[in-house]
Amino acid sequence: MPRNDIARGILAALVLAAVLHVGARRTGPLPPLGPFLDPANGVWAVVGSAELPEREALALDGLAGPVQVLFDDRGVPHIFAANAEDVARALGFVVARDRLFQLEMHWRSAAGRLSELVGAGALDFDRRMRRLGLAWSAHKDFAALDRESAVARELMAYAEGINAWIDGSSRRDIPLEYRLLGASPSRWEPVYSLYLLKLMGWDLTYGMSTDLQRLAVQALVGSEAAAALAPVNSPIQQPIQPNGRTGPRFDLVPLPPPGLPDPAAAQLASGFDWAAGLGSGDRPPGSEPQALGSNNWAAAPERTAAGYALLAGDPHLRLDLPSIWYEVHLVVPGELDVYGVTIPSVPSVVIGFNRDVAWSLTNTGADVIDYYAEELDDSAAPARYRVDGAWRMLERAIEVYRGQSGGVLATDTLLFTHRGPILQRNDRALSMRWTVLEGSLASAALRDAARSTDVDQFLDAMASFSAPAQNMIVADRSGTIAIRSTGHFPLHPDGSGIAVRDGTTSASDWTGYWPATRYPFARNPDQGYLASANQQPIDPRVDSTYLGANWPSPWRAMRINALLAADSLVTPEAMRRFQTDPGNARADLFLPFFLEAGRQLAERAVTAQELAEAVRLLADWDRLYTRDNERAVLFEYAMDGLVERTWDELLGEWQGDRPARRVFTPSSAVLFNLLHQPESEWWDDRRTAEVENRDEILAASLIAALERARARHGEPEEGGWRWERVRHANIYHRLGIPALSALGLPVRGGPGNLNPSSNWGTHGASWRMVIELGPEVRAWSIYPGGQSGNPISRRYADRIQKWVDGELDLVLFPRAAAELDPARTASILELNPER
Amino acid sequence: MKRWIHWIVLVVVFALGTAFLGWWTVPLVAALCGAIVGRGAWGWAAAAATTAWALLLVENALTGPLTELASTLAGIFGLPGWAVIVLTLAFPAVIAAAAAELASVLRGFAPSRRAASEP
Repeated sequence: MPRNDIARGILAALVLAAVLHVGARRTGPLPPLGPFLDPANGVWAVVGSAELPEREALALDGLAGPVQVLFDDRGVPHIFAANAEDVARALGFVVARDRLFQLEMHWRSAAGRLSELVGAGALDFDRRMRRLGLAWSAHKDFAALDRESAVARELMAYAEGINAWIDGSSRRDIPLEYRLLGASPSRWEPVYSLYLLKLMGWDLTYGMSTDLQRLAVQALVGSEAAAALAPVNSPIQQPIQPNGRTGPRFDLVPLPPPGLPDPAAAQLASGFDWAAGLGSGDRPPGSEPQALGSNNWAAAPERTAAGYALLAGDPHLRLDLPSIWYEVHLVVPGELDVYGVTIPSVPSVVIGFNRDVAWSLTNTGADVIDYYAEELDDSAAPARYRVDGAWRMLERAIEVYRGQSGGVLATDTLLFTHRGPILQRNDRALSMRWTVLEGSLASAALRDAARSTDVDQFLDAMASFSAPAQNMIVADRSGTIAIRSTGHFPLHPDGSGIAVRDGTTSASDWTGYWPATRYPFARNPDQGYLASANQQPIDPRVDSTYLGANWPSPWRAMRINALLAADSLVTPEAMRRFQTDPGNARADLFLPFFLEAGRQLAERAVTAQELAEAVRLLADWDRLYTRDNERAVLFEYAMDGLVERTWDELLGEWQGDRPARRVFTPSSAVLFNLLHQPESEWWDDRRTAEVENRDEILAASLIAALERARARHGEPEEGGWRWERVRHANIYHRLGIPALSALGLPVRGGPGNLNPSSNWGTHGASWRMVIELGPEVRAWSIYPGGQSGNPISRRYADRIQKWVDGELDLVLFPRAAAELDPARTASILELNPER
Repeated sequence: MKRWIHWIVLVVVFALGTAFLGWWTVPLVAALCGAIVGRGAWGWAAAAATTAWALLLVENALTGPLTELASTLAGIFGLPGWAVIVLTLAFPAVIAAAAAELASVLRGFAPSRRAASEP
């Protein structure tokens, strides 16, 4: 054989081996190219499922009767079925069709099993989630559920609907993300719906624990200062339950100076950073969660132009593509006719309305987590923990973490006391008691609330909602409006929940929950409107029982109350405008202090010229966060500087090469309180040689802000200072892939606005809704995303521009399938029982 | 003419094999082609495999926004928009060419071994 033939053969063999290798196996971030690029069965097949078919009839096992699903031109399914189980089954089916990968991400996130899908990079996250015991708790709840109850049957029907879609799906129906990951959809278990509610509970704690945060602060500045920086009562009171005042009340108190470090607290706190929400990577370390939270408000008929109750809601959450929300209309004639948003995983409408009642939720943010310092029998291999002098057995779970190929990445032994999961660090162990991990009836409450016909029925239905606690605003067609902070609020034996408790005595345990009759509540108040924006729910002068601490600053609450008080003939259009109102109570209060300090020091400071220029520019500001505003950036940079210089005492230690990070940032309401103590020791920036007072820090922050703005955005006249060029919303795909994300979106709003924006732009109004409860209910809505989870579908991100512009869509709310305008019907899906 | 008919048959076999059995039929069919045709089969096999996958892509384009998907995938991998389509067409070409060439070279071994065993 000629030598060149041998060479050709060797070359061909090498090329073939290389191509087969990349064809059959993952190479770095690339999926196996063979099945991926295969034009018949691979990623290209996805194009066939981008849009909904005009008409389709399918058989669905388990249905009692035919179900009609009409998708309107906004992609919203209107599901008409003969009974509630069929609705749940059909809902599972269509949610899986539109959001299958999201469903997978939801259950895997809560269960701590993302590594199996996305690889070892998710291992730390998985370990954190499993240590929290979310899935452990969900399984206990599910086991306790009466299988014959309506809610259990619907959970199972929903799961069957999802699995029917998976089982019947063709190659074109496998979402793009699975192709990228080289993975396949997993089957859905009914308990996964409960996982999601637990996961929401964790998200809505903002990943923080007041107890552990306060401990970290105490370690640096002592207990008295720590208590003042994370106060039990907000220094500005405009509570959810109206207190009879038309405006906010300023309960300003002198802040004690920073005290000496507390080594005992430092020792107890160290190692539990992640549980305290410190440096979790979810948001800038130590930042105030201003962009987290939500708004809802309602106006009684006497304060609306049309004489009908109006209700608005906009929950602020992490913004994802596809959205956390999925808009649906569920109809069982004579039993159920509800419209709103569900979260893929949950077979109910979470926020929405029916023919008589509308409701929305904001997070209460009560202190529902407590930590207990436990005594274990053996720090290396504990089996028991001591309570009241006797040893009790620890519940033990072996957790195995696997990667994409099924190989074991790690193994953990998780321990549980009667209070909850144990977080262990060397010889120290904290057990966590958290209402979210206790038996939850949220699914049943949501189910029953959707069927309510007036405010009282709604409140009765939701009374069993235990966690995560929510401020539930509700209005009905008779004109009643009400709000109640609902959920399990622990009663502590010492009346306070702000410290890590002694686990060796049962006297530390909760003594029960607040009775529903004591929940913060208001109904048809004299002022004619109600509003919540995560502020402290009840005025401590009305009820001082401990509910929580370190409440978010009430800037949004102040603004919406002011807007509602100023408009005695509010309209749906006004409600829509309020949701993206550019006004800001925080700016109203802080700006005068900057200007006054700047003007005073401009006459004598070394940097007088720069300071005078900064004051001149800031004085121009109208205190609005409109997109074309060119001064908001200067104020925000000045606020950043003010926070950095003021709370320097709260910087932790350098971590190797990484600079020290603030372990905690007091709320801006606490900072406002401090502004009234111009000579407080807190003002001194210990990193400088001089001893500064308030005005010097304000002036220094202002000068630094001007320098920063110029360095980053050029001279103020050049256009680079426009707010839309500075602050953006960034809506990431759930895998964080930029090409599948909507990034750099202009926003109208800043920290503390009704439409808030965070530094990273990853949080914001995840859903906006306005409802008029007239003879015929009318509703408007939008969310940043689209109904489809398929990135190449027209319905993937079709609502984003309207969301950016603050616009809402009028929703279609037909009573029967025949009522839906054919011109606005995009697709019809007929689901029939299997024969 | 006959060669063209053979080539079209090869395209159809590649397309049907991919559609019903999967991408791995490409090297198998190409190797078979190389073993039967012998030297020079690699070009035929590569062209046929690419054509087959191109036809399957066209079929997809008739059912949905293929160019939208191409640009989305290109964005994900940081490539220009056309690159993913080129990669999709190049992949079967390379694999078919290599498999056919290897088979044709191995085919060359067979007669010489028989010849060596003859008395």
